[in-house]
Amino acid sequence: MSDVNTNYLYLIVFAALIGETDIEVNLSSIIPAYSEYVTVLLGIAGTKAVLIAMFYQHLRYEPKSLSTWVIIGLVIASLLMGLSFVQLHVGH
Amino acid sequence: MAFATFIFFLGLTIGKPANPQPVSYQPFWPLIADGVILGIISLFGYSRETFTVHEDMQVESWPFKQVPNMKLGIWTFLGAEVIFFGVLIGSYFFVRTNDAAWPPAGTLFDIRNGFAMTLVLLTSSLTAIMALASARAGNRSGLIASLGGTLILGAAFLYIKAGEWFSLGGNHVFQNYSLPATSYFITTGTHGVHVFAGMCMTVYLLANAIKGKYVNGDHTTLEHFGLYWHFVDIVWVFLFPLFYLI
Repeated sequence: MSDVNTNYLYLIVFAALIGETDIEVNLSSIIPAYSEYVTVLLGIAGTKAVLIAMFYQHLRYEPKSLSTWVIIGLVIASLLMGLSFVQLHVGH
Repeated sequence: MAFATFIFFLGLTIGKPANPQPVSYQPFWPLIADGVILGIISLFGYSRETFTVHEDMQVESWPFKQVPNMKLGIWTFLGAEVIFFGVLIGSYFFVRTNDAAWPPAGTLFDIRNGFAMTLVLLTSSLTAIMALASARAGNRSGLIASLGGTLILGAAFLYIKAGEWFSLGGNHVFQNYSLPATSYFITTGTHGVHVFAGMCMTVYLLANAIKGKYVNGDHTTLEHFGLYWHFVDIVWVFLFPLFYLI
């Protein structure tokens, strides 16, 4: 991909990130139900993170071994966050 | 680094109440100081690490042959950071789901502030990646402008954040909303320290760029900085909805 095309790609990703942020801020008026609202909100945040990792951190163009390495970190972090919910259920 | 963090938080947790009425808390300061000192030593050692080893003739298959050692080191560091912030966000979820008196979205933390900081940080990510693109294209003025923009936007983020902190502190937020406030200040404070560290790196890169570095194919340092800066952005992408919108 040429430099010019790459720069356009960065701008498109930026526009997508801003657009998603705008949707996040106005989402409560679109989805009134709280649990659905939280789910969609965190889903949008997740897609923003993926966009940044794939295109700004160039993870899309890195070898699969590196992507796997990063995913392992994310899985451990998710497990740690999940533990708090497990503790919640045990506690109650 | 993880051990230093463990010692630091251990010092916070094994303290004892200093005063029963009004309730105040006395952390165990020696352990906290040990954690800080260990953390500084670890970071210093990390900065001097070249990630170069002399391999024997007979070694196991190495899956990262195509990845430069320094880049793998940065990603490993970011992996540790993911776990670190994961713990903070996990504790937020735990406190949040246990606290029946958590204030509704927009009442304690101003959504406009969060929105402004998100826009500023996302834009700083764009300028950071444009700095790398400029360096690859050999465009020195573009590189300097992009790095300068990243620095200014980072400062703007911290300026808005500081305003919010002082405003909340002035409103005695700890007395009325102790758990939300504690969770907010620890998490956003840790993130703010990361932003500040990124700004220090930007100053170093900017000084080198002005001297003419990075535009002759030697832009790997910029790439590594970008990995860190975008990671800080990703963390905020989650903190914004968690504290301001939910």
